[in-house]
Amino acid sequence: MSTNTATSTATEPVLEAVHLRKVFPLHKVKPFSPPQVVHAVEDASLALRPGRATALVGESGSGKTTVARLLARLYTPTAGTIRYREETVKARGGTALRAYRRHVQMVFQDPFSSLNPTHTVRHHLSRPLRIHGHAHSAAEETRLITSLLERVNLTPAEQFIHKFPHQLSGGQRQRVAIARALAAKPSVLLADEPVSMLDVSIRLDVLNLLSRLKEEEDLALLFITHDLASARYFAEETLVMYAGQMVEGGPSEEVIQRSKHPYTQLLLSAAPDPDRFGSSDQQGNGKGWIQPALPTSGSVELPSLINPPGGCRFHPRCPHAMPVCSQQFPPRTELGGGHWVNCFLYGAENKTDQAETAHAFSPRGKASLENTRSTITNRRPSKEDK
Amino acid sequence: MVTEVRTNTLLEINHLSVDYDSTRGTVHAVNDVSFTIERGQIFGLAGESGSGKSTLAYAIARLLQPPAVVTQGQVLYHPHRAAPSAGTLPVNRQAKLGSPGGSKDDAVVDVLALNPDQLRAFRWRDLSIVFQSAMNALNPVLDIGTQITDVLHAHNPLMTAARARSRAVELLQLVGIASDRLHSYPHELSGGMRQRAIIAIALALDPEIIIMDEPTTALDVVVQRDILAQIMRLRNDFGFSVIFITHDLSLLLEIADTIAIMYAGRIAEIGTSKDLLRHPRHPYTYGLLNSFPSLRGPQSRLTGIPGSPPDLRSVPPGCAFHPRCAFAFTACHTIVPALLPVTREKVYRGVPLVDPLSVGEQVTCVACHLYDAELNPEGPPKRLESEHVN
Repeated sequence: MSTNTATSTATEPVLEAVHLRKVFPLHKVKPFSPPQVVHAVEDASLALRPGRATALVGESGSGKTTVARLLARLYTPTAGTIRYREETVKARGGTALRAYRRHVQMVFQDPFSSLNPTHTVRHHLSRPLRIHGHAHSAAEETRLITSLLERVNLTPAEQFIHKFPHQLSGGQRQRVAIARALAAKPSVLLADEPVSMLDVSIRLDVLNLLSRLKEEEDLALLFITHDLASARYFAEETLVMYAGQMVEGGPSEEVIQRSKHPYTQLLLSAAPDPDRFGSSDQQGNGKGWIQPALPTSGSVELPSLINPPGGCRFHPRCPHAMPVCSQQFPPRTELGGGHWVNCFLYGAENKTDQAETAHAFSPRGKASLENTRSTITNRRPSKEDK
Repeated sequence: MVTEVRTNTLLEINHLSVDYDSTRGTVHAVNDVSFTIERGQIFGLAGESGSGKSTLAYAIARLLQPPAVVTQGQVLYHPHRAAPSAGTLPVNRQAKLGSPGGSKDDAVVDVLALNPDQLRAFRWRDLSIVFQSAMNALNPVLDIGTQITDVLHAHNPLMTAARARSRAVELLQLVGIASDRLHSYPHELSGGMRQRAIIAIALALDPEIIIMDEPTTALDVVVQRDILAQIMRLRNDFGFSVIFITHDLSLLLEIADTIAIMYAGRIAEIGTSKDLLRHPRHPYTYGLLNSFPSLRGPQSRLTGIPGSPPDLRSVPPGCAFHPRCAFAFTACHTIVPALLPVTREKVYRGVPLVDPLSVGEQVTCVACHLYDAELNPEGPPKRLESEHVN
């Protein structure tokens, strides 16, 4: 349990990642070809604070899961440091790693494959209790398991304790997975898309559960998602990742309502949003206004991570790309209130000639979407003419 | 009401039920479902996993295999194209050898009674389907060009290879894939491109109806939006209807004209997407609408729907939703609510449910006792009746 039950938001981070980088080597196709690597995470820095949730948002392939796995030490970073309570984590295995995992636990995306089908709920929960030395007798174990199940709202616990995963629904399985993570009494919980495999009506239940646990147990939560709306709902802080680079971050409300990076704006315009439909004045079948989210003529997919584009990796898709974007990665620009962005549109050195552009695309909530959409409509025909 | 509607009706589903027989009891996956689909309409089918939405779609396409059995009901297809309203009639339409069963153009086709030959002609020419997982729907050892020309040749054996290839290129361009991808294998394409290729194959014979079973669920939001925009554009160009199956109601509200909400094999509510968003009638719909966080507006704690979806082997008696429903009263535990048309002023009782939706009127139907004047004289609770503010 966290002892660092500090009072204000300015608490010390429990877990901190500084300039994490991870490359995965590829098998050589030709014997004498130069070795190739996948640049999964280029430069990721984040800090998790007790009682607060940080959302990591991005498309699949953006490296968000890799970041979580680096933090859980399932992968060893190529470069960069991870600090747990200001101590650099160097554990690679054995007791040191086990001690680290006692504090940092992970909940995986798919509850259908993260639980062993041949073991009961009891077995799943008793393992971490024993391994981390929380239970010393069978009676104590049962008591702890019961309380764990109650904490994740699987009640009556006696009914669930002897069940096998196949006897549980998706939501119940994910609760067991969360209980398993809690069994180690961690101070950091890394949740990798914990609700994306669940039914819509169940998702909110699990999100609310995580949110309650965060508050009650003062957990530092990393919430990985591709859904900006649930990031806004759930997390105090949101970080946006694109192709292994962190492009924007800050307080969730700030990042989503006043998104600055073109990629964040793209994600926002692509997200399903019934409000947009509800508030529009289109009548009847006027659905022709659905537009592709992407205002560029480039690919809608992530770039290759084996040969990623130079500079800002978003520049091939970016509607506001400038020559400088392909040459170097933009430095972090602080926008105040903890909101930062890695984009030359807002950089100080480009302020003079880009001020106008930046202003034109500096969105304000809904206006940004309208803006983006009008860009799309303007560009779309030219693409089709070709 | 009925006669006028017929001209524009494309597909009629009457009291369709599908059971899965198993040793542990019969599962009523689809239970007495009726609705109609208009020409050019995007019909959304929403529900949780296990609500029977895919089974329903497969029953319409006659893709069900034992142990699934259609126990009752009709699927009626109206092949007559009222007017070539939108876009041009594609080349393939001319090569069409009459409608299945050799019936006259304006005759009604009973899909469930088609013999294998007629069925083969009906599928893909009149109705095609886009499966959920693009990864599994494409053959990994054939390039996509071959897979498209396969469809063309199977339904039109006289088509020359050159003609088929040019049609394949045309189809790929329609969905936004460059023609040099014709000889690419599925593993060389990204997820979004595979899904586009599948849509291209579904369009190959210019069908009247395309069933899309969670076509974008496995894709990223940006790609998803792009593909949806493409589907909308193609729909406007070719005038086909889409049965769009998804569990993502927020998505459906944006694209669908009419939405049917399914719960435990039955339709809980059916109505235009606008009406559903503004005035959710069924407590389940209301719960679903309050289940996804919003990107804008004030932050509030959402409640979602308590409990979990029922096990279809033992569906609760009465209204299947009652154990999770905050408004349930005695009648809900015993009487299965019928899907009845509802207006805001009054509730129609005893209207035979032949045609739950008609063109001009766009009647919302709901299967809930709260709207039954006899069972619940004081009317639905204010919370549900008031405009849904999201």
